[in-house]
Amino acid sequence: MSEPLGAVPGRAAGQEPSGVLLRARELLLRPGVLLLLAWLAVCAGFTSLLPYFLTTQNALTILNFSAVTFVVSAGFTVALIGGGIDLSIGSAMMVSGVTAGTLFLSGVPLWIGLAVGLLTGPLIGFINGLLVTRLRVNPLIATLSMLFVLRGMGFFFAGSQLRQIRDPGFRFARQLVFGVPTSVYILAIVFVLTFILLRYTQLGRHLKALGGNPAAAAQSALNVDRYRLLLYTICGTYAGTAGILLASVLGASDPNAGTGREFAVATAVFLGGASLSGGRGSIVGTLIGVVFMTTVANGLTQLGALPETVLIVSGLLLIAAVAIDQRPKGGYR
Amino acid sequence: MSTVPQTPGPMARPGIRAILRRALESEVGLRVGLLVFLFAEIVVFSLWSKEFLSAGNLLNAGRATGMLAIISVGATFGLISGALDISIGSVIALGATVGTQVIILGQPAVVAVAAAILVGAAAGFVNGVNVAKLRVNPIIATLAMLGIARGVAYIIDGGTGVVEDKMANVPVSAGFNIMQDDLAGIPLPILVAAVVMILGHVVLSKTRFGRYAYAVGNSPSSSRAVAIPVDRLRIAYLTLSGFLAGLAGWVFASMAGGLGSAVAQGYELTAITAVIVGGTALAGGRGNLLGTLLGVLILGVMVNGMTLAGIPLFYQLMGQGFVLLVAVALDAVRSGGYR
Repeated sequence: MSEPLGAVPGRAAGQEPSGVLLRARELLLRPGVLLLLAWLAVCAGFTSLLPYFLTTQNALTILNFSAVTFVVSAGFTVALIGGGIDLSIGSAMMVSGVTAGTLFLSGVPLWIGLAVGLLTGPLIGFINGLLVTRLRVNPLIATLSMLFVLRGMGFFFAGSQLRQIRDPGFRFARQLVFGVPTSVYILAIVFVLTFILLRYTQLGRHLKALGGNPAAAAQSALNVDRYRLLLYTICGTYAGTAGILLASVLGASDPNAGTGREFAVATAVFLGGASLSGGRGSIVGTLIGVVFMTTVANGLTQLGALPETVLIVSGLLLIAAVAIDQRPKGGYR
Repeated sequence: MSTVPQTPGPMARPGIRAILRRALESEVGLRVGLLVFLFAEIVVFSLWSKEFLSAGNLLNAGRATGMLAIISVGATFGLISGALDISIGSVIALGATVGTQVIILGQPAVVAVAAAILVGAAAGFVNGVNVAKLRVNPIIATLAMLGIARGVAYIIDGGTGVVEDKMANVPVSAGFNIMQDDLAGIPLPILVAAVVMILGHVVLSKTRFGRYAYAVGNSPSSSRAVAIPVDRLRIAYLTLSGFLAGLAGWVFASMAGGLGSAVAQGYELTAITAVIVGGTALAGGRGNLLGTLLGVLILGVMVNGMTLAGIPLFYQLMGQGFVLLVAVALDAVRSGGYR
């Protein structure tokens, strides 16, 4: 690093070193790279402070805690890339988890309960999509309203009480396979599927086009409304999956689960380089963002900080991430 | 204005959207609609529950609605200038917590008020700087403050959210409970809200500071072109929103005789609903405080009426969600909708 920096003043402008510098800058500004460096720094810091931080067990704990947030964040990322936004994800998670739990508790076979719970996700997403494409409601507010409605529905299904479910089948996410919790495998599967969806499928490319410039997408004969409907349905599917996973990790039907999860999700996803104005974002960035946030929370908790300190840290990080990210593009006008 | 399109094609069908738009286009039409709705609400709830129209209940409803009115004034300024402030609930909690802790430390009530308001204004100022100087989208900037303010409040009161035991030692003579009192038979929170509403209305409609909010919200670039200090104004509007949230937090804490950090979650949503119901455009540039007042009354009556009728909280949440949805769908009809 120091060599090209020192070399610049001696040479004429536009020569080789500035090319190296440019490339270094380009690499740094790639989604996720700065964040990855920051994550390594944070890990190094915690390792020097905490004797048990850098252990396999703690790494698995961090991944395990990342799983639920990552699955729902992946959906949020896809929604942002397609130019949408979905604030109802936390409540949608709760509804799907509560649906599965309530069905199971009332004697329905486990797999039917889980399947129906899972399906509530895309259904909710579909309704969001209808609100946006048919009623032309701003997606921010459409999904904000759904947040209320869904929370009410969850309480309606499940009452206001948390109910424990001790069945090991329902708690599948807690089981260890080769010493690794099932939820970590689910995290990996969702990551790979989303990566493929965004990078190698036509649908993924169309969603990027739609998010980057909806007017241009419409001009090139993309059925914008149909893709938007699909976009919200996909996002809902992720939320449904995350909801089932959370219910399984908790081993309970909890009408308060997922509440306020939107904040953690938004922080992780924006840290990962996605943009509110659509068309940009990467699932790799989101994965690093989620793991980063979980690492910070994990380390701070081990250091004995109040858990709420994490709220402050995430807020500051969110501002920093968006401010740095927006700088080269001029930002909010 | 919008004449019915003459060109053939998909626009030619004068659907329900076009009819609605014409009815809603005038401020008068919207206000008449809101008044009719408010009146219908009152009729329904007074038939549903005998106590609804009793003086005691109306005063109670007014106390609760007062707080909503205070924060809605701030949210109106923010939204007209193009900034959706979603940190209001957390800033209320911060104001309430700071006010309460100052009292627990043995300071007089005046210091508590000042501290709560100052800390609220500071949070709003930080929001404003993040938006105007760091160029962060207002929704994200205030989303971050939603986390930060709540986190700071938790840390100030130790994360317990419980203050009852400590407040028990505070003598009533400290004057902290003043918001439980009446002046000439009217509860003080209602008076505070009325003062804030009236001042806000005068500022928004009569002063340059207020009128510029419309310019900034309608077109920041045109505003800059005519030398309106857009950045400074954005900071000012968000600071005002935080200032009023801090004030509301203190009013809340004083009404309850001390509050912890877990209060007021999601209050920003109620305020935003009230403001949008009142006809302020989600995209900024349009709206006024008369509409907001009607929106606040509609929501205040709804919350009080449903509670009195014994409707469980989850139906109330659903009701609020539906009202927001209807209001925004109507806003979409008025302003052409999301494209």
